[in-house]
Amino acid sequence: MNSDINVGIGEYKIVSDDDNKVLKASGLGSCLGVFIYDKKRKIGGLAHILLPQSPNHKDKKSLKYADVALNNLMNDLAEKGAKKDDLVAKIVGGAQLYYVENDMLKIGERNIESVEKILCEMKIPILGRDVGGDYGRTMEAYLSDGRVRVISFKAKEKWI
Amino acid sequence: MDKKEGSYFYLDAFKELGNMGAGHAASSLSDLISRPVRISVPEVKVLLLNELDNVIGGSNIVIGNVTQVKDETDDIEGFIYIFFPKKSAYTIVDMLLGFDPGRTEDLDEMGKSAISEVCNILTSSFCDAFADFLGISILPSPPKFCEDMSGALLDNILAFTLDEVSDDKVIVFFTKFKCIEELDDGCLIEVGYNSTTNGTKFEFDCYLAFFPGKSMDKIIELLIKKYGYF
Repeated sequence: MNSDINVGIGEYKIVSDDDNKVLKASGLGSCLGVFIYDKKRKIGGLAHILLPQSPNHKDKKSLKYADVALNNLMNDLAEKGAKKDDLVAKIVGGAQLYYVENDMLKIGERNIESVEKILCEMKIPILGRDVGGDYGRTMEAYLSDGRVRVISFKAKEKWI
Repeated sequence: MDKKEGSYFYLDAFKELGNMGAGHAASSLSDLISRPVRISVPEVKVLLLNELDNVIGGSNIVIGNVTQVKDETDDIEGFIYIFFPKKSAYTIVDMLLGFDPGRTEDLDEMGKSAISEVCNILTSSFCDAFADFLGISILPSPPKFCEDMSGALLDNILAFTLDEVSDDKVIVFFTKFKCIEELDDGCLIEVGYNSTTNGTKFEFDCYLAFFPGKSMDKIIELLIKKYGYF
């Protein structure tokens, strides 16, 4: 049977040796789940991103930032044998559940923009997305075929 | 006092502050529903970002409210997150609207505004006690009803709290309010006041989390100034 591996906020996990596994990010609000997958080799990684961009000159280590997490994830995927030309991505999340009086908090939108830009620069095509809106989501990425199931409270279950 | 010992002391002082707010909030809630409300497990937690899902996050659907709180000078900027498990929220609506327990099974506009009102009262009384103790005034933003995954509701708070912060630790004061019907000696009774024949009672759980975020240093500074800790 499939077994779930939970990916918490500000971390990423890679599965390369077992295609029965499912990578799961629960309760994505403004956070963005980014699943990068090599279909030929069935290697995949899921990052649970909190913030769009690390501040300059410092803090290049924290995986809560999109740029840092995706860079590290790509390096680790390459190390596990994934080939860059075969990688595709799916992104889920980036919602805005409520408004807070501060522009900085259009964080969901900014996460989406930032991740799309980074993936574009890395030349990784985004094959599926379920982003935005005003509700939370849970994503499950299946290593066997790269499909992603999106579950939410307000919208219907979806496969992308 | 070395630094490590000092930081434990800070957390203790912060917990005292939280306890005071929670006590005030519980008695306001108790006034509102005319029943005793107990505070259980008040604690201060220092959590790593990826641990939060196990504590208050995850994909459980909750009903609640996130409120940003600020003082006049914006030195203090935190969040109060109040949530109810679904069934507890329905019970509160039953209580406030004078229904038999178990009648509410879904939230209409009336139910949603009842829940928002409860959150509003809890938040304001928590803030009042907290602000009094620090000698400042704290203003909560208007509450907004939310029904969604607990983890999803937390995201904005975390993003706000942790942006440009180098470690991934989150400080949170967390407590649970409980309303159960019991006898004076503490035993649960089978058939409570106003109970229906199927034994459903007016019981609920409510959770309150306060995230001081980047204001933690300022809060400690105020505590020291006012009460001469150290």
